[in-house]
Amino acid sequence: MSTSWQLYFKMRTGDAYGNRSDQEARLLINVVPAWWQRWWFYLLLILVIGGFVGLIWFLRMRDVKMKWQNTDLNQQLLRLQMNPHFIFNSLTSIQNYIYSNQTHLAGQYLSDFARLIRLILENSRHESISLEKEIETISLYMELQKLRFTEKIDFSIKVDPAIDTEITYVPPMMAQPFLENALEHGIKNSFRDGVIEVSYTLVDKKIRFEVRDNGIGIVTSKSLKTDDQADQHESLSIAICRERIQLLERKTKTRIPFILDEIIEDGVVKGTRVAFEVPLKGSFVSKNIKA
Amino acid sequence: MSIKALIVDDEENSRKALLNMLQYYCKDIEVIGQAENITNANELINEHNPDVVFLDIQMPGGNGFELLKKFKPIPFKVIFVTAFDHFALRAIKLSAVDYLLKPVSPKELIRSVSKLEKQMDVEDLFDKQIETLEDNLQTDRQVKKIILNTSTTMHVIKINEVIRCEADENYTRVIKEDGKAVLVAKTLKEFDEMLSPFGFCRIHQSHLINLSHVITFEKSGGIVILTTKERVPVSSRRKEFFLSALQHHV
Repeated sequence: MSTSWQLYFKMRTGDAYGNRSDQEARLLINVVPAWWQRWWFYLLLILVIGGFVGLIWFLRMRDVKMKWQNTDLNQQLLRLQMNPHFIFNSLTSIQNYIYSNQTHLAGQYLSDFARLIRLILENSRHESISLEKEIETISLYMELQKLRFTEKIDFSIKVDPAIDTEITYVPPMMAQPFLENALEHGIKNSFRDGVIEVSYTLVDKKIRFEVRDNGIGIVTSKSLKTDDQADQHESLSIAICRERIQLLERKTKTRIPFILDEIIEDGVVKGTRVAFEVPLKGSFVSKNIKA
Repeated sequence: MSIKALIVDDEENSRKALLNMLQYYCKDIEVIGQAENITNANELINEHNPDVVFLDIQMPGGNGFELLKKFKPIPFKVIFVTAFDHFALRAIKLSAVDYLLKPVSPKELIRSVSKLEKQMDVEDLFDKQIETLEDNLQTDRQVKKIILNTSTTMHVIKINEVIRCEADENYTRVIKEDGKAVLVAKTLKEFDEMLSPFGFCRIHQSHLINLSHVITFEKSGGIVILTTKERVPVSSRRKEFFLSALQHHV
């Protein structure tokens, strides 16, 4: 860094015989550094570079944090989907078909089970998947659940014809925790035969997603709850779903209202309903999460 | 002699699977009924007086433990059958009540049934076990108890009164606060699994200690001194593991 300084020349003339002039010639030169050599410029430079590095760092951290949150959520989600209760009871059902010599059924369900596990593992690596795949996954999931509940469930999926399921991408397995709740708490405790309906409707550039059941309703179900662990699992699965929705809200910069209530007709509880609308935007192109 | 059994499970396929397996592997067992909830189970028990109940834990409308609360004393033996229930399993292990995991393994089913057959005519203290189990299922804070069965006696001991466990071939010697030891027909590994959630640490191939009873650790010799003044070796391979466990424990 340079500061201003001065050069001062003094000159006398002389000849070969040693005579010198009495007078000196004086020259004062003020050396002023260029603006880019001035201290304030250096300070500014440091500030600008520092600020720039800081900004990059901040943006990166935000990105990393988002990703980390996402991976964390994905992991938690995977753990939920791999609900040990579901897995081991499904396997027990298959075991039953084996021991009761229903080999073809056993074979069928075993490969369905394998296909479901494969889909869940695969889906968990993506931020969004095609609606087609999502529907295949939850259909398989429900097939296997029906096997556990020995088929007293009428399950249906309705898709708005305006939606092209092959090119419409949605976050994976949003429906699953609610299907699980509908089964475990709504239908299992109910005496009527279960009806569970999932629907996807297009509502101005959003996909409205809804799960309805005809179970005993969420309030009654909560009051019946005796098992702490099942309870924990349930509230955790809903909490994770809410968190996923919040993350989606931040990413898409839109509000996503979340409805979870009882269906009441003529003052009688007819079941539970869950609904929310997922925006269809650029961020819904399938992206691999880097493993 | 045939043993009368009742199967209680809310899922039909689970009941059927167990029924089929019992018919195939355990000819001495006669299944006298199946129930899908505890109300049903209660009726069937009063009607048929089963010797054993295969009891699922997680069921809608009341879990397996609630069925047991209806009987005092409990006039049958219980083998729990569960798909997965972390906390309940931990409590079940401590109370030494038999359990099977779904899907049931034939080997374990056979083992459980033969164990049951041996116990059939022995007057045992099943109620005491269930009482301990219920105690242990209460909130996490209170002191947990462990049941130690020897060939002659059943000991119910508070876990914090256990100082250490020592392997003795396939047996384990459990040393209590009062200096007395109980020899149990379980491996040290089983004790490690049961007690490590309660601040126990395996510091050696043949030693499991209660970290709350550690006074000093002599780094040079790798020896732990316990409140009872006993000196227990820490194997060099487990030293790091022990020190970090101790740090987390304090």
